[in-house]
Amino acid sequence: MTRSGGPELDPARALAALGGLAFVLASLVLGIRLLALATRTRQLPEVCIGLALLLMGGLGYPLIMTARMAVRLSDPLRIGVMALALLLMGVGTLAVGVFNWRVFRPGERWARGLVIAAAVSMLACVGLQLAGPGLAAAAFHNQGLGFRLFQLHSGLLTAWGAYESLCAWSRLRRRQRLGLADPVVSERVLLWGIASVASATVGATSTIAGFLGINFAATAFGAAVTAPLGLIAAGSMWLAFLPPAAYLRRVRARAAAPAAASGA
Amino acid sequence: MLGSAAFTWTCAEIERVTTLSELVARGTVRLALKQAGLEPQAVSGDQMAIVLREILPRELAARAVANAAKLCGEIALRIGGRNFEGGDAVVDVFKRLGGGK
Repeated sequence: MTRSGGPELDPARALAALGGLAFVLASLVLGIRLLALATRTRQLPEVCIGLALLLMGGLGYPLIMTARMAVRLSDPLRIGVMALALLLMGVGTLAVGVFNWRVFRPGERWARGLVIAAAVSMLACVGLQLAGPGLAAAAFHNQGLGFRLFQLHSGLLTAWGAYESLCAWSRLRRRQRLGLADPVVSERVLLWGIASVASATVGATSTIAGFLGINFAATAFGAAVTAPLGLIAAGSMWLAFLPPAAYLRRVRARAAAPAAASGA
Repeated sequence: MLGSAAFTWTCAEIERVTTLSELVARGTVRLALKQAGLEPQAVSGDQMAIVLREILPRELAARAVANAAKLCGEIALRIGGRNFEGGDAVVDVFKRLGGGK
């Protein structure tokens, strides 16, 4: 990719774009829906997860791609778009951390400390980028240690959430065998875990590739990672937070089948 | 970490009706809860009643407690009337996140 011309859309990149687009759309729709839910329940976890989806997947990620790829925009505008994207990504990343802390580790001082440390560290990363190559390097060339380290935060906090979700699902699955857990809630926790694993993997791979000087979004390898994982994350989030009735019936029937068999 | 009221009460009852020490009684209940996917600090009375019927008899029998099933059944009956509340933030939050579905 050069500043004078946009990238050609070969099949691999088209597939990656499809995965990315599905992720962005799902994040936008579900983020808004969960924030609307938060206005009714007035509970912090709903605010956090809604903000995380809307600001990171729904707005921050496409704005970073816009700053990087919209070569027809003026340079100051692209830098401004990147600054806005970093602000949104930062708030969204913190929302992921607060969600993990308040839902999975309420009352744990280390979890609260981790979120505060992430906030301070992200500010330091922005400072490092501004003191070094600046936002222009991040926007035009996807470069800068501060920018890379900043991006690493969202991957790490999402990976933490994935770990906590999958551990919680493991406990709920054991409870389900005794009739102590709702199979739909267990499934939702699992789907959030899967979505988190998928998005953390894309984020981590992209960041590591960046450290190695590879423009992840422009490679076939990047497309091979982004396309399936973007679709998996989007599909998992959709089934978790906006599940079709037929899917819920299937989850309940599947959970009831072993109980019926053991009772027969 | 402190246990819930249901956990503390059950451990005390098992210690009272068996020859197990406090430490062994608490450890046995903890193991049973782990098998059930429950946590000592959050387990409710209703959940503990099911653990008492489904898992603890086996665990107590493995520790040479005679009449384990009968003892657990009696404790399960008694805990039923005590309304020990529990709490699980993960379940509560993910239930709400489905928007009532």
